[in-house]
Amino acid sequence: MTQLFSWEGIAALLLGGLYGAVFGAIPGLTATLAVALFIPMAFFLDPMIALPAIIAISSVAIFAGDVGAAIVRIPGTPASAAYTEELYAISQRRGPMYALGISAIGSSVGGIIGTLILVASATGIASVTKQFASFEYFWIAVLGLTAGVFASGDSPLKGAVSLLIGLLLATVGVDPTMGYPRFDFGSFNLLSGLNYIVVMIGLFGFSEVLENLYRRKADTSGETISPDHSPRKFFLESLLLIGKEKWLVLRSSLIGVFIGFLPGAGADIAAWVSSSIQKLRGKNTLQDEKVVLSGTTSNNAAVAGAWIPALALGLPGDTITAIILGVFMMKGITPGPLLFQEQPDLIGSLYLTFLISNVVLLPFYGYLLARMAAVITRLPVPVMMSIIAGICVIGAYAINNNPADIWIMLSAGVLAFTLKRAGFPLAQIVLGMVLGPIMETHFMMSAIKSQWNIWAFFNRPIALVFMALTILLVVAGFMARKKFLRSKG
Amino acid sequence: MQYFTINRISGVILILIASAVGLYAGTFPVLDGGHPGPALFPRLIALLMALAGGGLIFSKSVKRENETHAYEFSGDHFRLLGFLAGTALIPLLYEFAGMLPGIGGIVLLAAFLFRVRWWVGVLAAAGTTLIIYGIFGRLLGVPL
Repeated sequence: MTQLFSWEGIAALLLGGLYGAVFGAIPGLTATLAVALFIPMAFFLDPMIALPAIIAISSVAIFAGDVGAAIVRIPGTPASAAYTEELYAISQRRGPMYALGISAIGSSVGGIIGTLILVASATGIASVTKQFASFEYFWIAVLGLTAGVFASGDSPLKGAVSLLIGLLLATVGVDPTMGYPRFDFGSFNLLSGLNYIVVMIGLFGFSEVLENLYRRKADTSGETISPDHSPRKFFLESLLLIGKEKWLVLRSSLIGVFIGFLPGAGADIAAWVSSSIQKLRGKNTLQDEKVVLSGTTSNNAAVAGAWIPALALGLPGDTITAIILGVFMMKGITPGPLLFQEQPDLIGSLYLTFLISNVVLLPFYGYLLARMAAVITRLPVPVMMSIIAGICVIGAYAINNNPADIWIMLSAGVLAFTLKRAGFPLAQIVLGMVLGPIMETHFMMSAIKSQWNIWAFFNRPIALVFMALTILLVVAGFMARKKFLRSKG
Repeated sequence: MQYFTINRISGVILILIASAVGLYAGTFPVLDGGHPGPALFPRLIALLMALAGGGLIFSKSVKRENETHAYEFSGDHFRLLGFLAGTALIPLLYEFAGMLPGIGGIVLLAAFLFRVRWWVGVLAAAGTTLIIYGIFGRLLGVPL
């Protein structure tokens, strides 16, 4: 534990946080990539330094994904895509300091709640997930997709179409059952499928450049933002909002932890489910701060939640903890129930790092990034759009170092430009691309396991709970739609 | 163009796409015992897409208050197509000159199309290229 407070430990936390902030904020660079690139360095570090640094990287990177969403409507990480439209609208109306204040302080509170649950119940909760099989994961994916349809608000039908487009795009490439290439049209570049981060850059970033070019005059609404850089706007107003919405924050954090500890799920899906539930319950306007608060709280709570199965069972909760398990192996540490008895110092350091990251690093780097964002948004819109064009190109290319991904990004941008004109939402496309492969893989696995006895999907207690939740969500969605139509007269 | 006309056109396009996907998926192999394999999900998606397309043709939707760009088709087509063509050329340029000239070029082209003053455009292109070279090329080792 003392190593954490040595100068090496403090430097690892500070530099790890800064590194995570840079990676999260740049479109195309993800929290997973940040952790993956850190691994060669982690090899030479003591585990008591390397593991806290990884926690600082992932916690800050997941928050920093909101920075691009707030300034230029490009989510830095897939976890921010669920509430990008809302965050951008708030940033345009009340300035990036306020928008990123909600995001940073909300992430911080979500992370703290997630950590407390991690500390209190790591082994207990993890044993529940042992009951989950492919049937349960299939129903979780169905639940997430259903939430996405109704989260589109005014037109669930258009939301469903966007989701189907996302699901269809996810089928491109080698299929999960037989390894048969689908919709690759003989192209080597399509054989490995469409990377959803490349598509996301096209959908949200490149399409915005196209939009501004198409309109004869660039959208200068960003220039009217109040230049208020005060910490009051960043810290106090967001804390007041969190205080007012304490139950929403608690609910979103619990959802985040729950989804985070499901192996293979993680921060992206947690943000989607939480913000979709809030969209169903709330005013469903783009300025709804509660949607942002629920999504951002949930995705950082999921970061802590993903560590529960990793520490207690040695099962990765998400891609980041999958890499971390590799670090454990590299250092000769065996995760599992015995780890808590054999290495209490390491476990204590990890818990403490989560708290430090969320209480100190997130608000600190959040405030710095928000100040930078407030300066960037004062650039003239045509100049900013020109720079965004360059960032989109490098973001798409850098994912796989493949120039052909620029064509995929360009196609996604044109698709988004066209869909926006016809009033279709874009975020559901990303949801379809994220959940589609999970749903298909687990469906096929379950069907083959049960020798195509479809009844097997309905006779497992936990699967039934998720199915009942899906039906409840459909009923609630239609009731919310009825209320919405009535309010529109 | 009125939004219900757009919805009808969207519905027809969706049905056409769904038909093409359904037919193409028919060429995929099946699993042992005749069970559906790689074709199952694409066909299911195609079916739901066709249904959604039909729904769009026959339903009227409520226009969202914040959909400021929706249903607007009178813009600068020349600027749009010029920019798309410029971006599409970057992967071809990569073969001969790498990524950096393409990035600088696309920032410059966008600045030109946005009618930004020429020296501001050059500064933006040079600055962006330099930052990308520093972060991606030097720090992350991305081949540029």
